[in-house]
Amino acid sequence: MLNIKKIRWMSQASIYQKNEGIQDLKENAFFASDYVRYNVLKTLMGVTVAYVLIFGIYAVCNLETILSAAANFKLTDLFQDALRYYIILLIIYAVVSAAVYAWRYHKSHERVRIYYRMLKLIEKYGQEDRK
Amino acid sequence: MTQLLIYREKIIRFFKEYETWFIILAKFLGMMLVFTYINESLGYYELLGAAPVNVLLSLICSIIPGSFTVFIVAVVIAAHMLKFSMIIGLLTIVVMVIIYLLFLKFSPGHAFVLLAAPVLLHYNLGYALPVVAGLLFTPYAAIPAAAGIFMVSYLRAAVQYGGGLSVPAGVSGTAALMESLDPEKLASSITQIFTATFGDKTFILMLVLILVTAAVMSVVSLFSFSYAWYVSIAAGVVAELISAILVGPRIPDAGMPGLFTGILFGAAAAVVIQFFRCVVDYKSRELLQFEDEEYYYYVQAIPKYLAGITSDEPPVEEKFPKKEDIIKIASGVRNHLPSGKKADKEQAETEE
Repeated sequence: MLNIKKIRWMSQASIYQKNEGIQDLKENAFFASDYVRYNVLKTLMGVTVAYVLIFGIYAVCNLETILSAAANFKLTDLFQDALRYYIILLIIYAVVSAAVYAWRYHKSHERVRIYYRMLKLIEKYGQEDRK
Repeated sequence: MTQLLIYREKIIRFFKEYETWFIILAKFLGMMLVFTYINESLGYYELLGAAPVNVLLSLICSIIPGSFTVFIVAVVIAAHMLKFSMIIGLLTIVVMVIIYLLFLKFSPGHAFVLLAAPVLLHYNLGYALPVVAGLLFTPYAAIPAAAGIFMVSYLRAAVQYGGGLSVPAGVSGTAALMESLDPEKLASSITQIFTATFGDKTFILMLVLILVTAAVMSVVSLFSFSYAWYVSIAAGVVAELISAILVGPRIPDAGMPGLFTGILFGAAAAVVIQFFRCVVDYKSRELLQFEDEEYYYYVQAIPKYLAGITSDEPPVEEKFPKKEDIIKIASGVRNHLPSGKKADKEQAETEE
């Protein structure tokens, strides 16, 4: 005989597995701290690449200023300014990304725990059926 | 009302029966609009502007995930701009990479907002987006929407001021490329492009509107009074209108055509979406109090109108469970919640 409760839990588990489950289970393969650190590192690398590109565009637009700074031996000042903005940007992105990824991990962890409980229930109903 | 609910149930049933096809069709039509808009605005690569190519690209985009769709759209834009001018094309790719790395990396699942914002704004319906985004997404949707509109401003400026960097027709080879690489011309053109792009503040206005509207809507929808979802839509409309009136004039050059029609269209769309998402019977609301050994419960239960009708029968309200049943269900559910200490204890006992 069909076990309606078991089928309901199986459907819910399957729907979850098909949608958010794919990403959630991948994320939960990490410890929370490792997941946050890994993603913050990835974000900071992305920010570094973006900053280099922005600096490149700035350099093309202000080539004369840079050349005159180089001629007057003031290139160090320019690079110091660039470095200062870069560090500020890194700090902002590190804080924001740490918060975002910690929150995301927490949410996915909650969903995965519920998913595992669903699996346990399904197993329990399966054992009852066999009896 | 009863008749309306019957139609609602019928439409939902019909939609669920062919859900996959409806989603593909909706994505296909949406992507046709996006590619038509791109080809109308840019259209330098004639092959990409051809109808069969558009249909093929839209078909591909309708069956792949949203992030890949955004990638394909970015490739199409880059191809048009590379055809317009090699330098401007490369600059466009760089700008798109910067926007992705700085803003879009945190927003997976917001491809719809990113693509819809510029297209809706083009058809004077851009201001419909804040209310709809507030209903379907979090306030974070403001970032991809603003990024999409910023990209439109950039492309408009690039086409307007980047003409000097394009290679004249009939001229080819290294000499032509060197001509377009003249440092002074290059610097002045790129400066003009970015001055014009940041001069158009529409993206800042949209950012503010979506942030405020979505925040107001998500707060109001958390309340438990009757018709809270519909009240949240009304609150979103008022918040968007007030923000637009207060912030709009302070942002020079921000485009605000179609503000009122957009807001009205957005409100109507949001009401329809909410009607199809969930309808509850507030008249049958039950307020319950009960306790178990660990918690005291204050429960407000409102029955849904369920999809349990045959073709011509009136909608059947779910038979409201007895108080004892609710207590049983609630304690049962709590046992399966991750934080339930009792559930953990029972599970540990079972494992032993």
